[in-house]
Amino acid sequence: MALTTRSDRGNQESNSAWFPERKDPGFIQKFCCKVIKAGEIPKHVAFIMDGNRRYALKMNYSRIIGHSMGFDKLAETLEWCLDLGIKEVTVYAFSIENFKRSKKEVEDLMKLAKGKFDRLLLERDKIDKHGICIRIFGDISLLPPDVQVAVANTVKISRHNNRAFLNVCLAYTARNEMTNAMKELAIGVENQMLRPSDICEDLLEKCMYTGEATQPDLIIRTSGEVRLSDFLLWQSAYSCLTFLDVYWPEFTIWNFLWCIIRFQLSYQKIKDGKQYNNQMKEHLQHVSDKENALKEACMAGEVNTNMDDIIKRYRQEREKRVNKFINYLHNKRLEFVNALSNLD
Amino acid sequence: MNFIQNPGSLIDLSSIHRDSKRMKQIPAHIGLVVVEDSISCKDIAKVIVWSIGIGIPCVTLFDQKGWLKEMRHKINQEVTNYYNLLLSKEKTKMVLSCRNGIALANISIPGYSKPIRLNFLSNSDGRQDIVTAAQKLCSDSNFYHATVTDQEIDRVTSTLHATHGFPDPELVIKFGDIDSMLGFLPWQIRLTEITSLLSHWNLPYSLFLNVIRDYSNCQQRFGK
Repeated sequence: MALTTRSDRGNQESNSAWFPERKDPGFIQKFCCKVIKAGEIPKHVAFIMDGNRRYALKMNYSRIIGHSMGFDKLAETLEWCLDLGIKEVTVYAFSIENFKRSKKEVEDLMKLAKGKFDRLLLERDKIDKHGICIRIFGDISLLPPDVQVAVANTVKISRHNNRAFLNVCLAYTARNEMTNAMKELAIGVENQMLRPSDICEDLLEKCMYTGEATQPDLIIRTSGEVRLSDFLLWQSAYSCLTFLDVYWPEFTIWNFLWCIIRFQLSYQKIKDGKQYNNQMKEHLQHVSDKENALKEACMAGEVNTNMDDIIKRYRQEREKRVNKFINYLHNKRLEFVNALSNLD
Repeated sequence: MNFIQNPGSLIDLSSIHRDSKRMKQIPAHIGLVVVEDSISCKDIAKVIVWSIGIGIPCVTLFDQKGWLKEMRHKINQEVTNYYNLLLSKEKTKMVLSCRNGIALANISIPGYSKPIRLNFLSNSDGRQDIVTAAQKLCSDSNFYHATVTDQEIDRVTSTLHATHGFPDPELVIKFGDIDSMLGFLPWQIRLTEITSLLSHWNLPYSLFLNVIRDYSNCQQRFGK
């Protein structure tokens, strides 16, 4: 690694690109990626990019330089994902808990975030070239207004893309997300768009910030910590969890490939586990539909109708209600972003 | 005949108690997540008794398909047997009570640690429990009117049935070579330290102790 002084790193702080010029990865790396691709590749990988500050301390840089180098590592990781054919990436950029840090650090991080999102608008052609759709998960209203606008603009200009997805968790915690989803459902019930018995795993999932995303197949956390820290708690229930003892700015392609190998080793058993959960889910739904359909039929005084027909009809009506509600929520969120954005 | 001396047979409750005294912190609630294809009641019972001895007041057992739940009577019996083996002079008092399908065993060991509570969970106590909480809260108009504050998040926590009255597990030991939690208490494992051991079969006490020691030395920053 080249020797640079603190002031050199300071100048590089806010100008680095999301899609920098690529260095040739070299024969060995290309070969290893090919070998890995012979096995199952996760379709969606989530990263807890931990250790920027401890790395900065180790290298005698300031904290904000650590975070900036963390961003550079993110850009490099996105390249590896595109090479490996990983279609969806989620990153834990800023937790609601991080607001408890010193005022200076929070301000610096918000400034860095705004700078990066504004920069994204300049690299619009590259976003479209790769077909990347950028989504933001979190309580955006907690962010400073200028960051909210930058974020809304990014979401708006990349919305039409669908070849790859970059999800950024900003002002996010999983418990906040799940509680918010429950509140949305409460609004639905209050407005008689939904019945409490309509609420099931699938519907609750759709109401989360991650509602339109798939669930991560693989979660990678750097810096040696072995916990989820309120990140995608629901969505990670059947994910492969890997924990690495390197700081995020030091994350290498070899670390990444090792995690993917762990994913491949657990793949079949996790798939079986997911299937078991799906079976249980379907069974519970069927029992609930039957119970509610019969209740409804009794109250309506229907005596002679075939039971299977009653249940089928109830299920169709429930699905119609649920889909209508999901569309309503989707449009509500769309309008929120459009109202924030200052682009045409 | 045992070719390999299981170190677990050399320990007693006094030595476990001494090990406990050297720890900076002991978890208040530990999760034992079994993702293996088969379960040894004897070995699970040993881990439970070691947890009792080291001073962990609350132990949750989990496997996806509910085999541990089905075998809870056998496990409780093995716990008694193993405990009596380790400490033949003191009496154990065990009261088994069932609460809505979650079996609780209240074991009190006078002179050594606080009463321990055992919780047996499976697939239905994870995401589905969160769904049930959502159904309850959505019918409550106070919930609809409130914003997402820490208080509302705590309300969700207290509405969950699987761990009602228990704190969040601070430590999970996952037994098996699958790198996934397979649906274990998604809400409650927000800050839980996750350790993996290859198997609970013939698990030596020394490995268990290492896990507790590592936990005792770890520090969390809580986002700050």
